[in-house]
Amino acid sequence: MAERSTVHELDLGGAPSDLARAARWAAALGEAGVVPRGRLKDVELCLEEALANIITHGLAATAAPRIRLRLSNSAGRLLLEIEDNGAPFDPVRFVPPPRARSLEEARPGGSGITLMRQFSDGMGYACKDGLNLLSLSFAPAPALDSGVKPGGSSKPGR
Amino acid sequence: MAHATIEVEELAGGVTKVRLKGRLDVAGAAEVDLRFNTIAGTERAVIVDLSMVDFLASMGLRTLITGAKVIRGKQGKMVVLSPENHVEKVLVSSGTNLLIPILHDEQAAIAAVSH
Repeated sequence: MAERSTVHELDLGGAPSDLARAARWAAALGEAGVVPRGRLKDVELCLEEALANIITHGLAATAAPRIRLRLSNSAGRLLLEIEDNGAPFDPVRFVPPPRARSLEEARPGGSGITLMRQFSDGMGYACKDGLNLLSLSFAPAPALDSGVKPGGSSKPGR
Repeated sequence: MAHATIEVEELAGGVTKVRLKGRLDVAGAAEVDLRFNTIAGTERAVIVDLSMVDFLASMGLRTLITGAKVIRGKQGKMVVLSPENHVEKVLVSSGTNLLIPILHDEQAAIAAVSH
């Protein structure tokens, strides 16, 4: 079903329209069986959140922005790597604000990194030679993943 | 090509049902924000039907929470109706379900927003 250790790449320029390009790329990898159906939306979500942060914040002051996406599937375990030449930012160390307990105190936005943590199974970051490298891993989907409800055994419900 | 669309239906008792469809990502949220904000600014009992939304990201959450805050500011109520499985996971994982109730039955949703 899945390709073994083949690396799939996509280069982006950092334009807002690249979010849609990346989403189409992920969907195509789902169609091709590289990304299992049970993890496709998790991958799409993490990709969207990471790219939205990079394009909106990290690359805002970069003269020649560039992003490279790499995705590999090794025995069902997915590794998504996102490399960009924007301002250094480590989402792994980012401490999200406390959860709002009421609509009155809620501040819309700022949940992207929380969602990346919840919907991936591992997140790593390195900055080397002026490049940010964000890596997100995804374990194989449970056999009955599509039936898992929030609060059940899947990670996002924890 | 639209990423997301919005339809509005007036129900009995002054309840407004907003049906969102498609992907509520950065592009989709931008497409529905203006109309959704207008509804939030004028209505006090709003049901947001998410059954046709197949993808929800943080920008979509922003749309929902922004609208809910406006409605709450007028002593109104907003609930979410019948989100798809992954969409509900996003709502729960982000804690949005603690701010905007999730219901799976339209009559219960109507009762929840009626004053």
